[in-house]
Amino acid sequence: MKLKFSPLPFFFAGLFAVIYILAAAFPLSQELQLVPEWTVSISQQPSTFSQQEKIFPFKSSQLAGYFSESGKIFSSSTFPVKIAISDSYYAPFGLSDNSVSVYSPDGKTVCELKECGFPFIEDDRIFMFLPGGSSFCQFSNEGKKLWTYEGFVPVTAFSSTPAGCAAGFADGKVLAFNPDGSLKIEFIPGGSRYPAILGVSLSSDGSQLACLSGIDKQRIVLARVEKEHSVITFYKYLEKDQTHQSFVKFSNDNKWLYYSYTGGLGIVNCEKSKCTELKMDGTVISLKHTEVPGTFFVLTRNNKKYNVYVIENYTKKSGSFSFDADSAFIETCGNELFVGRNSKISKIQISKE
Amino acid sequence: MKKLSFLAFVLALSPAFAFDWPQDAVLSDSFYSYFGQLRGNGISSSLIFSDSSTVKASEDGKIVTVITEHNDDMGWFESPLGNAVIIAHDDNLMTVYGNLDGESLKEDIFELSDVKTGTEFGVSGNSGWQSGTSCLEFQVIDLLQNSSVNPRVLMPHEGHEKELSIGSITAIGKNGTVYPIWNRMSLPAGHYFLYRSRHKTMLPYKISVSINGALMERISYDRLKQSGMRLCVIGNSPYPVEKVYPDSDKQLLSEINLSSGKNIVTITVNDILGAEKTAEYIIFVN
Repeated sequence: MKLKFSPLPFFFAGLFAVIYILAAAFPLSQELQLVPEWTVSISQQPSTFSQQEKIFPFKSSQLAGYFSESGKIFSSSTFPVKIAISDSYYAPFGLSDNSVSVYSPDGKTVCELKECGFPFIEDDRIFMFLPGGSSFCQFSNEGKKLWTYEGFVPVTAFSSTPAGCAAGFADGKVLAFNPDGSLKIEFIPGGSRYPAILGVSLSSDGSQLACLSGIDKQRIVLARVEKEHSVITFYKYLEKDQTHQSFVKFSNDNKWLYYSYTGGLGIVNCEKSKCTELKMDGTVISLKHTEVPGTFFVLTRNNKKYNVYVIENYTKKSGSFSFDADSAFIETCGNELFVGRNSKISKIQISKE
Repeated sequence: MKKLSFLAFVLALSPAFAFDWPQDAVLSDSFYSYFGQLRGNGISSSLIFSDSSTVKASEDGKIVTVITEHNDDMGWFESPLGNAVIIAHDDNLMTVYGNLDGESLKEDIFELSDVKTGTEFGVSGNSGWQSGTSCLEFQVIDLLQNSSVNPRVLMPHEGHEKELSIGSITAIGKNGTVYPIWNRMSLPAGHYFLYRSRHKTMLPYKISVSINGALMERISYDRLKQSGMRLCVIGNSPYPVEKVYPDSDKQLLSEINLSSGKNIVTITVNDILGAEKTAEYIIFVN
């Protein structure tokens, strides 16, 4: 028998060896390590308030207060019905209050809001949503009413930044206001059979507006705010309508837009008008940036199950973990992640190994 | 659903109404607060029920938004409607069902889309801003006319209306001077806002004021409209809350000019079924 020599197997073996050697020169991608550093109970005896440490608000069931990066609980108090809280102020309130007291994190009274309704505090901006759900006003931090908007269509979405605020309404209209209460623009995204605004966000420089709108062809719309009108720069129809209030938020540098859709998180590159969707379990309820551009955490909820997702390079899902809880929140400081779960807060150390 | 522009005709000639009850039917004199009432520091666009009941769609439509409380989440605003369902109907009408109990909300509320008259959402309860023990907060919005509509115009009526009264009358001059009004009194000539004493729950559906037989103004509580960034009652001009309710004891009747001589001021208030009360005041103007 005569053996036939073929060079092909040797060629492929040699090619594989070369590719292997070249590939081996690059390190494997590092795995994200999430290691709990400390866990504290929010019901523990509060420490003496310190101006030196950066503080973060927490809210869980009927307890609210502030904690520090080092794990100290600076204040923790029960609130009888509801509470509005930010890193600057907090305001417990009831369902029939005719006025609401606002406190600083150290528990000192800052002002009294002499108005009926439900307060909303974002950073140091204080708003009151008025009975009926269609009107609201903004207060100074001395408790002086700065301006009021009175309407008859329920407010279904709201966003506030240093550049003003934007309110979305059940009739599909978005009104953006300057900080002095003057109307910046009226924007009607349209494009759906039944107009309604489910989520809205105003960029921190006031130059862009985004909203999730409509039923029967629901869509996310990004618009550039010009002097007296707005120009739609991007839109995308969603596969499935949602009727609940939805998460819509710009990145800190206003170059990216995040929105919640049924099944995950949508991410829009505002400069390139390109959209990526990341599948996630549950509904997005919070998103917190780290100091690394493009790295952020997303908290989603599916009934009692909460998920925390780690996103890198804006669009890459690097990892996730989940837990069962009655209430949960996430917070970030630098590259550190804090996770609140029922009555506990944990600091999660993030590293790559 | 009938066209809103034919509502008056419908009310006059037909026993059928555009909307069904948004909860179990109640007697006309048992509402907690009427549309147009002073609520908080604003004019209310809600009809508020006294009794807790299962809440249901008052007409076929499409659920466009479900507002929920955010007790466990930070960074979301809390609507004073509490848990609420908003439905878009034909003919550009929208209905709002607020102050629903969170525990009773239907499990599949976010899956509901097209709803029929009578589709149940949950039970009215404590989730929205309410004064006292009030329950369902019901609103009707006319998107075409860009106004809030008195829900009672579109709903069936059960039983009798609460009996109206004119109440005690005051006039407030341009300079802010308050004059209690009684028959055969004297007033300086000038421009006045005429007020009646405000009832805490109900209010007339229509108010008209005539002087010497000439109609000066008719204020109707069939709808509220926006003027700029203010919600207003419509008379000869749009009146914001501080004009309609300068304090919690007064309700605007009319803006009038009194000129020298004998002025017979006739005040008429009507309820939604057309029953009216009239009072006449002879005022001698210097």
